[in-house]
Amino acid sequence: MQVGHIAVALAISSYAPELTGGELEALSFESIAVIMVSHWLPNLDVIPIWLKIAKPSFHCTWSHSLLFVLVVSLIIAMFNISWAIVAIVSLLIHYLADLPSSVGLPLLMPLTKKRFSLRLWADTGHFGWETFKGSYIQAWPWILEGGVFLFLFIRIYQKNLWPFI
Amino acid sequence: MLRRTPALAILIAGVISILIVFIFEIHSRPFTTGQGILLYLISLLPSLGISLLFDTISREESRKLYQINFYEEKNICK
Repeated sequence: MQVGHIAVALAISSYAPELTGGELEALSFESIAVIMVSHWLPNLDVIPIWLKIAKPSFHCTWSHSLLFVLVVSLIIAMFNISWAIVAIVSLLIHYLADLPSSVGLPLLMPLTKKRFSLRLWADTGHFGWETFKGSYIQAWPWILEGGVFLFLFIRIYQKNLWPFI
Repeated sequence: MLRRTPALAILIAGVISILIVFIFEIHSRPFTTGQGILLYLISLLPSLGISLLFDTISREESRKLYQINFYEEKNICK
């Protein structure tokens, strides 16, 4: 999933009050910022690849494991429990959004390197126009990502936020 | 992409939009025309995907992509 991650993060933010017992407001700056950052965190594994510190195969490895969720949520929990809760949900939903891709996610690393995938579309790499074009020439990215944008539209309508006010 | 694919997407988007209005519209605050247009435009995204499922060219492209490992140095596009 690529562009759809934006809609996924915003949709999670619309549930922030339910997730945090009212500590964070739905689609507030704070909830959007925390959720966007934590939702995108796994994909920052491309930075060491760009810096040529890691091989391209480093993408979708450690940062896409349940251990990563545990470590990140524990670190954030030291500062703010509500942020940690939405970070856990954001990271898990990030994995769920990436699961249909053929690259597969090593969710149980380091216990096993087995990759889990629903193989609904062929993975086309981690960055660049070819990755983008290759992804959106296939059917399922449109269905799932478009579906998330529709879901977000309905959530904003139900929450009576702009442009529905 | 086949020429019929966008046309099919336009039709499916209409069906999805109507279904969403029937299921989710709150009677006390009906969608305005602008919101309806926005709903239709967003519905076009998954509709294009549904119509691509029936597109032989897209399926063939997808099949080719499955055979490439984009994480091997030699296959990375310059």
